[in-house]
Amino acid sequence: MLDTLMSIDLTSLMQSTIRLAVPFILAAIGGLFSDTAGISSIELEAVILIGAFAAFAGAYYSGSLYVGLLCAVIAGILLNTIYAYMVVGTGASAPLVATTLMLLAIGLTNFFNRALFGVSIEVVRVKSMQAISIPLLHNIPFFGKVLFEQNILGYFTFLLVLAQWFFLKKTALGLEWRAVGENPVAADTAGIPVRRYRAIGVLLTGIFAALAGAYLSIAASNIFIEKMSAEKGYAAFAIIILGKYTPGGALLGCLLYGFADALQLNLQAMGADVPNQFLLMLPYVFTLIVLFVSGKGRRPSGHGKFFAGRSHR
Amino acid sequence: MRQSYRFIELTIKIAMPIMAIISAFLLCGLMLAAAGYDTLEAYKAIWMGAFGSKTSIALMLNKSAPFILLGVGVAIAFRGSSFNIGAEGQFFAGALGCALSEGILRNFNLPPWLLITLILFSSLVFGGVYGAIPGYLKAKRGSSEVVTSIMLSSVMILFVGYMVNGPIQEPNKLYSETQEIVEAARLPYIWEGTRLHAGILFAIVFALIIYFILEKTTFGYKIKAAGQNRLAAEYGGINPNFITVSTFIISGALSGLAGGIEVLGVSWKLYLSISPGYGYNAIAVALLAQLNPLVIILSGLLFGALNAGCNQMSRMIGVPAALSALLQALVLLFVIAYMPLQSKIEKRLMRESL
Repeated sequence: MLDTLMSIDLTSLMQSTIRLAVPFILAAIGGLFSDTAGISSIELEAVILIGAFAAFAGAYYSGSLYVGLLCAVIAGILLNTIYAYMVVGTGASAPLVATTLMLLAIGLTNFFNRALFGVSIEVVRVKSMQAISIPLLHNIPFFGKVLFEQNILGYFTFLLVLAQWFFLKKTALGLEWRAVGENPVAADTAGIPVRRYRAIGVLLTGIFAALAGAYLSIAASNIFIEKMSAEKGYAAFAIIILGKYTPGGALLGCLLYGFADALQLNLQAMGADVPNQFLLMLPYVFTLIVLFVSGKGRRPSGHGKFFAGRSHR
Repeated sequence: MRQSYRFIELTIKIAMPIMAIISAFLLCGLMLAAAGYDTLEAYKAIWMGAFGSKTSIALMLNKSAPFILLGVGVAIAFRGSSFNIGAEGQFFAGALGCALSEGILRNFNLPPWLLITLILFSSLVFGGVYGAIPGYLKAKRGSSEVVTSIMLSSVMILFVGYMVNGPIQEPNKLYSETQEIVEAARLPYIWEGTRLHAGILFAIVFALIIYFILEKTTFGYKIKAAGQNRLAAEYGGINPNFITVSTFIISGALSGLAGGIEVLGVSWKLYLSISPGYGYNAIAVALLAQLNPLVIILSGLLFGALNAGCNQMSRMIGVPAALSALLQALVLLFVIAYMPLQSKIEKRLMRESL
C-alpha cells in the first residue's frame, strides 16, 4: 500500500486535484451567494444534476459547448426560481424544498435522458472542452502544469473565487449583503431590500451550481450519466459549513476534497488491493467526518430565518 | 359553528392532496406530449398496468408495501422534526441484515414462522442501528441530518455492492447477488393464483401501530411536542435529543423491515436493484398524507400503483419507466406548493369561526 502511494507522480496528482476540485469550488462558491445572505444552499445537488443534463443536451443538439453552458445556466435559474419563490418568498422549509427539487431533478433528467437519447448500446457523446495553456505561465515548472493548463471553466472558477471574496469583503454592497445574512430585521430597518437580495443570491447559486454540473458532463467528461452529481452538492454544502461561510475557507475545503478524490482515483487506477467500493466510499465518509467535526459551524446569525417583508409585520 | 368549521377544515385537508395529484398529472402530461408521446395512451397504460388484472393488482400491492413502511418511517421522524432522507440506506441495511441472518439460520431447520420472524427482526435491528447514526450526529453535534443521512445512504449502498460481489456472493461467483433464500424463509402468498405476499399485511399493521403510538401514548405526545416547539418541549421536561435519536431509530427500523420484506417476499436474494428508489420517494408518500400514518396507507398504495403501472406501461408502449419518478416528484412539488395556500385558508377560517 505504501509503495503504491510513494510511486504516484506528484505533478499529475496535483493536476487531477485541481480538475476534480473545480466542480466543488463552483458549487460551493455559488452556494455561498445565498448562504451569506442567510438562505441555506442545501439545494445544490438538484441544480448540479439539472445543469449537467441541460449542458449535455444543449451541447449535443447545437454542437456548441457554449450553447451547452447557456442551457445549464438557464436550467439552473429556472430550478432556483422555484427554490427562491418557496424558501425566500413563502418561508417553506429549505431542506424540504431542496429534497423535492432533488427528486424533481432526478425524475426530469432520467426521463428525458431516456426519452431523448434512449438506452442504446452506443453511448451518446459530445466533444468535451479542451484545455487552454496560458503562454509563458504554463512553462513554469510544476505550477505551470498544475494551474495554467485548465479549460475555460477552470479559469473562470479561479476568477470567481477572487471576485466573490472582493465583493463580500471589499465593497459596500457586499457589506449590505452580509448584513442581510446576519440580521435581516436590522438590515431591513437600514433600508436594504432583504428579500430581493436573498432571491438574487439564490439565483446566483443556481447559475454557478449549474455550471458545476456542466463541468461534470461536458468538461471533465463527454457524456451524461444518470445521477452523475453523485452527492457532490451535499458535499459542497458541507464544505461551506466547514469553511465557516467564507470564500477562502470554501476554496481550501474544495481543494482538500479534490485531493482526496484524486488520491482515491489514483489508487484505483494502480490497482491497490482495496475493494473498489471502499475507495468510492471515501468522499462520503470524508463528508461525514467533516460534518462531525464542524457540527453546525459558525454560520451567519440570520441564517435560515425567514423574513416575511415589511408589509407582513 | 364549530361543527361546520371542522367540516370545512377536513374538506380542505382532503382537497389539497387531490389537487396536488391532479396538477402533477396535468403537468406531467404536458411534458409527455413535449417529449413526443401520446399522453392519454400512456396514462391508460399506467392504469391498466396497476389495476388491469388480478396479477397486476397483486404486483401493485407488493410494490405498495415498502412505500407504506418507509413512508410511515419518514413521517414519524418528521413529526419529531427530523428529516430522514436516508431511508434508502436503511432499507439496504435491513436487506443486508436479512441476507446475513438468513445465511446463518438456513441450516437450523427452523419452522417457517420462527425463521421469518427472526430474519425480519434482524432487518429491523440493522435498519434501526443504521438510522441511529444521523440521529446521534444531529443530537450531539447539530450536523444537518439531511446531508449525513444521504451520505450514509451512499455508503451503505456501496457496502452492499461490495458484499454481494465479495463475502456473500452466490456460490458460482457469476452474478452480483446472494444465493437464493431457502423456501422456508419466503413470505407466504396470501392470494390464490397471484404472487401477492404477506408484506402488505406487515405494512398495514405497522402503520396502525405507529398511528397508535403517535396518537394514544405519552411517547407519541412527546414526539409531537418536541416537533412543534423544541424549546417549549424542553421547558416542559422533554429531552429533545432523546426524541431526535429515538424517532430516527424507529424510522430506520421500519425502513430496514421494508428491506427485509422485499428480499423475503419479492427478490428472494439480495442485489442492488431491489429498490427503484423507495427511500427517496417515501418522503413524497409521507407528505402527501400530511404525515398521518393511516392516510399513508392510501398514499403508499397510490405510489405502488404508479410504480407498478409505469413499469407495465414502459413494457407495453415504450415510454421510459422513469416517468414514475417524475410523476412522484411532481406530486411532492405540488404538495409543498399548496401548503402555504392551505395554511392561509385555515388561518382565515380560524379567525372567522372565533
